[in-house]
Amino acid sequence: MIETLGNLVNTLGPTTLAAESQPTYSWWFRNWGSTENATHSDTIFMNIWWISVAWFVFLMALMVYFVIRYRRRPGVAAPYSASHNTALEVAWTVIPCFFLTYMFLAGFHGYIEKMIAPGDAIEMNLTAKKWDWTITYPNGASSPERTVVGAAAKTQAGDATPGARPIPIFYMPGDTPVKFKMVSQDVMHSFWVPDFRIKMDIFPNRYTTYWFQAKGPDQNSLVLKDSTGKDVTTAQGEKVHYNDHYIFCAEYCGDQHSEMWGIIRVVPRAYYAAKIEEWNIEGKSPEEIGKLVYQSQGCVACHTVDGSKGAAPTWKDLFGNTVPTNAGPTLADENYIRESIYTPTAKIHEGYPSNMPVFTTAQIDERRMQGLIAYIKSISSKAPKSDAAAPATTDPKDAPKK
Amino acid sequence: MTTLDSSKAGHLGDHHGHHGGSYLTPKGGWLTTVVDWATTVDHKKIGVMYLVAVLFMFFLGGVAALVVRTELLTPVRTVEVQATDAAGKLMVDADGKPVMKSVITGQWLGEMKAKIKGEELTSIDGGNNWYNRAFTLHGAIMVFMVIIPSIPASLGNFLIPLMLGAKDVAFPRLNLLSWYIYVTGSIFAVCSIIIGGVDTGWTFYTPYSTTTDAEYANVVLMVLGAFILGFSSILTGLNFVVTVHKLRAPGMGWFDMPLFIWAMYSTSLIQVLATPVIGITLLLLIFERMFKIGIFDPAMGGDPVLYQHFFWFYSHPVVYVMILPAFGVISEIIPVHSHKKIFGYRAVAFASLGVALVSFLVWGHHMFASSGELGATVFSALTFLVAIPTAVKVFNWIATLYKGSIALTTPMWYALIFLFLFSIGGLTGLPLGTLATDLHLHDSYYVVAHFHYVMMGGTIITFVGGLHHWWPKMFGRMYNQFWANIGAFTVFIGFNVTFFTQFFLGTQGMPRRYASYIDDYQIYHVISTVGSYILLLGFLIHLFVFLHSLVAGRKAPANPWGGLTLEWEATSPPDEHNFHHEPIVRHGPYDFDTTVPPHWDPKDYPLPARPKHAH
Repeated sequence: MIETLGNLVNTLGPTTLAAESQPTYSWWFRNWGSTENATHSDTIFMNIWWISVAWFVFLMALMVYFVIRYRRRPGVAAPYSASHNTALEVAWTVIPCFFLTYMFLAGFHGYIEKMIAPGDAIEMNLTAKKWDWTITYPNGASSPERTVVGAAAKTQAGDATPGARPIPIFYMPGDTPVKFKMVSQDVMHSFWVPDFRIKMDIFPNRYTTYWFQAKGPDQNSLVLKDSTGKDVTTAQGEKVHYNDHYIFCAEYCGDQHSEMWGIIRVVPRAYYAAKIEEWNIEGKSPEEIGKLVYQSQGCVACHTVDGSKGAAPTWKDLFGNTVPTNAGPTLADENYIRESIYTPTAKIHEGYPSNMPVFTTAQIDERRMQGLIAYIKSISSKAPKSDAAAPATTDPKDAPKK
Repeated sequence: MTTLDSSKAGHLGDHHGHHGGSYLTPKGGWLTTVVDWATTVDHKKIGVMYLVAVLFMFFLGGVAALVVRTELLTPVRTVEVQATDAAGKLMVDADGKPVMKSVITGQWLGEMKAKIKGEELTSIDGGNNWYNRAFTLHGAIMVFMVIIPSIPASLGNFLIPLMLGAKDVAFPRLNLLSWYIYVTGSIFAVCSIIIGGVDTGWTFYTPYSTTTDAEYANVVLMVLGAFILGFSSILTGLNFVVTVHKLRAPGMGWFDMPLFIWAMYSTSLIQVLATPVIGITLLLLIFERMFKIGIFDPAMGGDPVLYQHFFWFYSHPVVYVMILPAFGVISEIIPVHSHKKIFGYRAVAFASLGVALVSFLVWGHHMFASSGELGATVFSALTFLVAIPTAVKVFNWIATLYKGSIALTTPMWYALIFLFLFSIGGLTGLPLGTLATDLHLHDSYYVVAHFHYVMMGGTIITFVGGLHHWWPKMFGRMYNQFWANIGAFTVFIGFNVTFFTQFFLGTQGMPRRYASYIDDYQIYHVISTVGSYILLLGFLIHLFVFLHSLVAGRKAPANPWGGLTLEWEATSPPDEHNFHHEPIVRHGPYDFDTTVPPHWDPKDYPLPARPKHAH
């Protein structure tokens, strides 16, 4: 039924004049919309804008004309004039209804387009938490790539500028419908990619969906470079083009709401497939898995690994040391780490707020948990580097009790 | 400007004024006067007390707004700089390479907080804390303590009995109680700020609001403050409804009432019917926080969307509690300063009631981006329905100007500014009611700009305009119109510079409630902030003009603008009991083409020749 209604109002959709060819379009939008739906919704916006401009100019012109023409002249009375005119009043009630009906129908049509994903969309899971995003690809991998903002999305304009903190980059296939199943781990968030012209709220304990089909990169798009500044190439030796789109959290969620950003990086479909295979945890060592989890599950947003201060305790030299908690001093061993991830409120590190999100065994399964523990061990001077070759310098009484 | 000449127009009023004394005449020494005001049941004094309280809260909310705008001048950035040692020398390591460290820039409030604590800002953690409190403070104060009570409680209290030809409101003691409840609620809110403030946003969305600052009482105090303020609203509304029903002067039928009364009547109905819902909701929120009962918090099996439904079921009708009184004020200012009968009286009156009715059915349009349900389409359609009576009113006001005798006084300038700003506010609401575009614009700066055009450009601008219109009546003094006009123009310019830029910010992707942003947005934020300083200047000019008027203003005639509603028959300022004799209504409130205004000399007001076919 919905599709029938959609087809019915389809004729009311884009008008003959495409949005981006209109004057003043560039006042409102920085690009032409990166999905078909975005372009359509901009067309509706511009149509409403021109209707509004026409009404506004008409009303204000009348007002200014009347004020000048009928200004008060001392000793001259205002002439008699009618204070009621049924025909006029009916007309100015009915005429706006036509415009409003157009807006309602066009809006409804665009809404259906934006809400209902095609059946062949690739499904991914998205979790939001204070103040980070995680997207799990169909093969179970997550993106470990991050950048300091300003940089990535700014590249379209030129120079990179430093941002406030690292934000995640999610690789997405171009010209392919993608659907997110979204849920929050703590408070409400809202997933907004301005270039896609759609946002959707994310709740704890309830799924919402979001879909888009981003236009793929073309020859004019940016060329992907690796960390050393060299062009990334495919197996065939071709350069990889990409488009970046900002993600902003649009539902207020606390202290770093203003920094809860991310980047959707649209790449050719083949490169996307290769990328998520690279991040697949199969065949990786526990430490490597742990590092991937650290980056992809957003631990990196609050916990540093170099000993510097973050919103949460650093992981550098955490393992094997005693930490002050509200339940008394506690040895940071495997069980402490496990408990802190699955039941964060059990023991709260003193000097830090209790805002660690809860992770479920579905999000961090046993293999990833062991990976995390291995990774945390690997950056602690008090932890045995491996079972085979414990450093001889370690004092036995400092060794973690098992 | 003969009409403003007190020596001519005022002489009729003067011979009424010599006995009894105005309501402002002190009863004795300062202590007696204070006690007299604190225990008064006179609606005029209560109106003035509301005015003072509301203006004070407006000042607080305004300071918070300027803090927010100042913070937004620069985005938050982490930058690497060379470290300095205790002596202030640049540090280098053993190899002579500079020692670098990370510092946070662009966080004005965070830096201030760190400086007070004697720390160095090296992480963004906690740095937006003060910013989040500032915008919550701004929103909560402006909505609950300024805009909702502004016109109804101050101008409404002062004018409703006068316009109806009554001695007071129906329940004068209840009226005083409402004021004390308002002050109590405001004190709760101010206490909450003093002990650390609230960072929830004025909407208190769950589960954030039930979990933030868990160990502190700030949120409970602030929510309790809003809960208490609700009672003030309900009692005032109830009082006005009964007053309008029972205390109209002899000869005043429903359709002889000034349109301000119609607007206040509609407003009061909404206040009485909708406010209990927010009362219950806020109480549930407090229970949720304190006793963890699990209504709204999904961690305990609750539903956060339920909170949004409850909240907006009140807070959307309340948007019309904010704007309907403004419609009423404009419906007075335009006819009086044009000496022209309002066009389509009944249409305007019924539009008020129509808006009040439909306002209860559109709350869902605040949740288009919540879950993407088909039900959103119903709310979208109903939202467009509200646009029609609102548009009809604007047409009526502009049609009223036709063939009028328009004097560009300060109140009239404000009415014209209102028409300009409110038209923009209304028209920019259309893409928000349109489902497809709202999914992009929801919770962006576009929404911020839109509701400032409606709430501030609509209600606050009208409140200030109405204050200029009735100031001579309230305080018996004229003000310097030249400087008041300068103030009005400054406010107009500052307002547009501040808020029009925010439309562009919104469509380009700037979310609301952000302390930081990408570089592309900075130029708009800088322009907007400069605009807010211009706005401040405009309001300071008004403050100065009003203070000057109180101290040195020339005595106001009883009817400076030539109005026909009953308050202009009373002296300026009115007597303690409003009228010497119970007024009898002999003409309609807008019959400018057949009636010489009270206290005016017919020589100054030649009535127009009427065409033969007119009745």
